[in-house]
Amino acid sequence: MASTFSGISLAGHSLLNSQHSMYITSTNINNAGTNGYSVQTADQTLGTMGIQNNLVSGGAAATVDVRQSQTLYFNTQFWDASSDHSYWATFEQNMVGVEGRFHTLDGTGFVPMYDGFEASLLDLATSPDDIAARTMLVESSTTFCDTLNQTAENLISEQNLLNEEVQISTDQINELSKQIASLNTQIRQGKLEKQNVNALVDQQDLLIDELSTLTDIDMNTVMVRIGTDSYESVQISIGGVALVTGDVHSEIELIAEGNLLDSQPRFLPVWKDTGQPLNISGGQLKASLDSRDGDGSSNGVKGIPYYMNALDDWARDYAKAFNEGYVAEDGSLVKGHTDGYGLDGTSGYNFFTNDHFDTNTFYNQGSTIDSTYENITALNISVNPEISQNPSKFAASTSQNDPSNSDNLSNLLNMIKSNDVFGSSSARESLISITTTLGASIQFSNTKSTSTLSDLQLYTTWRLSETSVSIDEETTKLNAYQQSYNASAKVIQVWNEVIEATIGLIGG
Amino acid sequence: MRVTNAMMTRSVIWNISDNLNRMNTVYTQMSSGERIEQPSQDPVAASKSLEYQAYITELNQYSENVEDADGWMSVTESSVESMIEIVTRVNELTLQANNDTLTSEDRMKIDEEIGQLQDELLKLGNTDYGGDYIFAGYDTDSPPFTLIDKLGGSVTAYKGSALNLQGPFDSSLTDADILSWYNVQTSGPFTNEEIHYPTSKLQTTNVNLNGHEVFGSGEDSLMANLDFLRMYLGGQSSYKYVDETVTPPVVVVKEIDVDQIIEDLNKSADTLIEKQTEVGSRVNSNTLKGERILSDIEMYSNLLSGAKDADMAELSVAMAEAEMVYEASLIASSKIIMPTLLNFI
Repeated sequence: MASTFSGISLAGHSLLNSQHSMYITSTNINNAGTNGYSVQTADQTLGTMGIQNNLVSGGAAATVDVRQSQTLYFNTQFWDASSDHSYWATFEQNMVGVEGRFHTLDGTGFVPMYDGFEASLLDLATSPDDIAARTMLVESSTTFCDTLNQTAENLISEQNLLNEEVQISTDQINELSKQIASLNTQIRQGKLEKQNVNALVDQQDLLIDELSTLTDIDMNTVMVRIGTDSYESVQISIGGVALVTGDVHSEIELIAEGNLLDSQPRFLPVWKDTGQPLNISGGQLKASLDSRDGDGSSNGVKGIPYYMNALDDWARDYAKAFNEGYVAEDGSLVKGHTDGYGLDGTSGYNFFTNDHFDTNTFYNQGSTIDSTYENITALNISVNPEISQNPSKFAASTSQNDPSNSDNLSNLLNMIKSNDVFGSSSARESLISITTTLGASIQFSNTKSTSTLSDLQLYTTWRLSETSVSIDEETTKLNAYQQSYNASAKVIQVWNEVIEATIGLIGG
Repeated sequence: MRVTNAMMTRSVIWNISDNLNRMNTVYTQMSSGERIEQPSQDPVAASKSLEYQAYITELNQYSENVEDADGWMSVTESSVESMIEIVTRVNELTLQANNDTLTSEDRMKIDEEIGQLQDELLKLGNTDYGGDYIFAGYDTDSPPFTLIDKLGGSVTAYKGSALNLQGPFDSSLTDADILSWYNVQTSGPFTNEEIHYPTSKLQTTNVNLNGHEVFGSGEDSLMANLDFLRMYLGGQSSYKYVDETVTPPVVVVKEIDVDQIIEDLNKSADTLIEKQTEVGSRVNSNTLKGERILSDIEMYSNLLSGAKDADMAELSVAMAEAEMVYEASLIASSKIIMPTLLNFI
């Protein structure tokens, strides 16, 4: 036999239950547009009813937990894709910045300026005694050197910016790991106090999302011991070293290791407690490090140092072959600028120099020809001021006082066309290949960035499919809960009437 | 798969941004008229277009050089032609003079004309093209032909060195005077200095003739013959001459042989005609080269345009398509994002 008030008590419970469910549903609907919000569901126990020994025992359903839709699997996939994508997107962006500085196709970069220099050399060949043509030659060679210097300066400033980015990314990682660790603390305490920690977990996931754009990360759930207690917590590690474990996070600090192109200190992120360098393979931080440091050696990444070295080597080889001549394929020595004679009958001047040094200062820099030319870089290559101030010193002739002898200029033109100075290509082809190597590298990064983006979009979709709010679902549920609430209220009303009738009978 | 509103919103944003990107690419190409702005957009086409651009710049320069060479050689050709006319006239006058009925007055007139023609020849030898003396080898700044004093007379010198030291000398001069003059003078050696203009990657065009080759050097050269002729017209029958075949050279006396003079003049005329033909054939091959360069420029311009210019017809279609897709995605999005079940309760 059932007790008098069991019916009304049951209905009361179910009223509360429906109300609770409606509260969760409206929370879900309110957060349908909140980034990182995971849909919540009320876990309810089954209400049972049985008759034992003529006694009816009944139970209302009860909300025992508010479960959050969460999957570590999708998160892990998402974070991997996110660090992959942000690596390639950042690397591409950095290199596009460098490419823009080359101005290859808009007619203002070093390739078009070099073309201008070659054209003025060719022009002088028909009128080696023409001062106007000589002045043009000096102008165009100076412009070319200036453009090359400017490009090198730009590469250096790009590298400095990347050095700052390394610093910013490292600061961000430290800040994020600190916040994640402190959320771990709050989640642990919340759980102990049986509070709803779902919002904190969502917030933590958002922070980890952000962290995954900066570096590649590994996620584990570990048991963390506190005294004799232990509790479950997330552990985030970078390259096998824990960044955050429970309440504790490891700091990353920057040490100066090596130099940038302009001899400023180069920052290297290391673990503060061990001093070991970070072993990272993805994310913005890795992209900044690669674009800043990649010299292309042993098939490595081609970052700014690679292009700088290529420009330096070109400038050095070109200046040397132009000034001193070169050995042709058949073993014969083709003479250079220093061997020829100017209109004024003088000889022995180097045409290209570094830092605007005159002939004596230039050759006094090194004990051998090769060590002298080591001083020439893309940043400092310039035209010998003795020639730029007096273009009649340009040595077009192979003999003294023969103004129309342009045989030495022919030697220089042969050098330019020859494949013997720059391996298997001409000077110009070799210069262009620097810009096309960069172009091909950007194209590859773009392909990688696009394909990693579609991976990222796929995992974003999967994750949203698992965790995001469907307003249709929630509306349907809201209807159901509302009806359940209405029905429970009705039940109470009925029981109320029944009890009233019963009491009335007693009283009557 | 469970589909939620957030998923739809997200994918709508991605798709619209994709479409907008595509439209931006097409617009940029259309407005700039160029298919690529940076090498990374198409490294192969970029490298080709840079290559073609360089060919064109270079070919334009070669084309200018060909024109310069043509100018130089045309002036050379017409100078040599004038020289031939002069030599022809001298020949006529010599035949006229080689006639016993002529009075000494008539011969003096002929001598006077030949003297003028000799000056004219010297001027032609010092022809310049834009300030450069074309017969001067490398030393184009100073006139190559000058007269140097020869014991009261003069002898033609090329770049300061006499074309002919052997004579003729007036027979009234003493052997000692002649030898002492002879010993302080130099003649040659005359070296050929060729001026070459680069007119293609591997070839050059030789534009100049060297003066000593045009006029010749030695006792049978053009200028020496004119000296003989004028001696003859002056009424002399013999002359003195330095014989170089013995060491040391000695002075000998010789009779003036008019037939020999006529024969040598013909040889000089032949040399000049030979030089004229040589220059003429160089001009022809240079002209052909110029035409070839122009057609190469046209070819590379077409290739360049193919490598880097945008194809407007193709782009118009692509743009219409991109706009249509973009609009469609906007319309679809507005329909998808708006409604939920809430709208219908």
